[in-house]
Amino acid sequence: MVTAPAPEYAVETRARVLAVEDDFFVSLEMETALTDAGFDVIGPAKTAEDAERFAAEMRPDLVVMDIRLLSRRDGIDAAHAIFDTTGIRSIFATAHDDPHTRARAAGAQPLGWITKPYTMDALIALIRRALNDVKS
Amino acid sequence: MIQLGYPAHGPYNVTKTACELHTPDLDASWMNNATFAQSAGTADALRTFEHLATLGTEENFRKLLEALPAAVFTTDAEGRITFYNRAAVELAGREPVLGVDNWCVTWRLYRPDGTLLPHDECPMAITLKEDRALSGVEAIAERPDGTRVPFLAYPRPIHDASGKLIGAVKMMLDITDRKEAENKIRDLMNELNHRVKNNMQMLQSLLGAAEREASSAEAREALSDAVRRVGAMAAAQQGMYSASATEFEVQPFIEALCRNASQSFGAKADIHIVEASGRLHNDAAIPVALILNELLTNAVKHGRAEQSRVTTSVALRPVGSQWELAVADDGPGFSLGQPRRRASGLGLVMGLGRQLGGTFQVVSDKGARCVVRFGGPRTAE
Repeated sequence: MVTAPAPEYAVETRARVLAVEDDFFVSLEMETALTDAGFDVIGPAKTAEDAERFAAEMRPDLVVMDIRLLSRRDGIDAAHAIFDTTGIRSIFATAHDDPHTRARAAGAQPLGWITKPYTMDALIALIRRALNDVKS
Repeated sequence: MIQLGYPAHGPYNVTKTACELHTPDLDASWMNNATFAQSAGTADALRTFEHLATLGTEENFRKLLEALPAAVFTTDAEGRITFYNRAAVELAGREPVLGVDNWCVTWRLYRPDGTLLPHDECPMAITLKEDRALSGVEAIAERPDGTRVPFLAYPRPIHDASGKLIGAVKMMLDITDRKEAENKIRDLMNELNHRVKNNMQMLQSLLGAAEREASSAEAREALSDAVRRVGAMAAAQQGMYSASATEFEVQPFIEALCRNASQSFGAKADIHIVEASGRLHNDAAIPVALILNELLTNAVKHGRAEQSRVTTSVALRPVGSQWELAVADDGPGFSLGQPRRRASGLGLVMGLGRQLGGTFQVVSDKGARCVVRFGGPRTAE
């Protein structure tokens, strides 16, 4: 009896991305676009607290983090907390792009930075690059 | 003899005046051409100056410096402080030590970027070392109590009758209020810019969702065109306010627009940037972005003929006194008739071209070459 070798690609798992975005339309599009692109989307979280809880419980490969959220603590606070407790890093997807904000975020070792308004294709390309960086 | 003059059209509408006074041992030619009409305090100071100047004598000249609401001090040729007024003490937050303190009355100095400015490199030191006047050099004084005062420095050399440098006089204008106002404006601009970017992101997402949910091919195409147009506006918005409040850098602008189109068309278009240089006025950003987007869309929709892919080249550059935006493709070419629609395609290009006060031209020769020329006084360089 001939047994076919197990295909190597069968063990490939979908990368898991935690989306943190408080705007309904943006988070809806992000969820759809990332799912279509082959990612497992966790969230979207709309507050820093939810983001931290989802990260701790679901252990995503990376986080797409907005900065202004529906909570008093912002996305930079959440990214720091997530990085400090789990080592998971974030891509910041935000309208903020000033040196002061970037300096504040540096401690969370961001995987990338994409400025609003961005296209979902640009975000997906950045996530793919970042996942490669995380793996290597 | 002192002759004093200042600009007739200063912001505080001070009438041009000249006054004379006799001071045998003090040549105050530094006063000539001083940029005085800088603040209301200076305008007051000038009135006091004029009044006292009519009295004559060196003693009165000192009284006059003392009475100036602007901080003033003098040094000898070596930079040792020889005189200071009350306003200088207030600004510095300390009493200078005559004959001991060098270069400046302040406790510590910083550059506008926050780095320490050693006293022997301060504007007054430069004036003395290089025997030249400086105007409106910005610095920050730190008082012994730790508070900081931003100010503008106006150091001027003083010469004796033979023209030899014998010292210098420096006026310091406190610009705390101006700095606070500038910071407030900057915060407001950032906030506004942030909201505009967020709203554009939302608009783009909203149209994208509608496109996905549309059931007819025509609706999907129309919404896809709309998404790309908003994407072009968003790309134009990205670079604004990064270089200056009124102009933007052309290169990153064109790159962002081509990226937006390229993401939308995927393998259907190969877009090359041939040239993108200079700075353009913000007013031109959105019209130029939409025109470029429409020309690229047109090339993909009609320039592909039998091939699966169109190659386009994009250039935005100053030509003479005008700007030239050119998009060329390797398709079958076309001649420009009267476009059927005005809110899309070439109709939109013509409409926005008119908004820019420009011209639109199509040359067909081994593909189409679309050229929009625009200019006018509000587009820089």
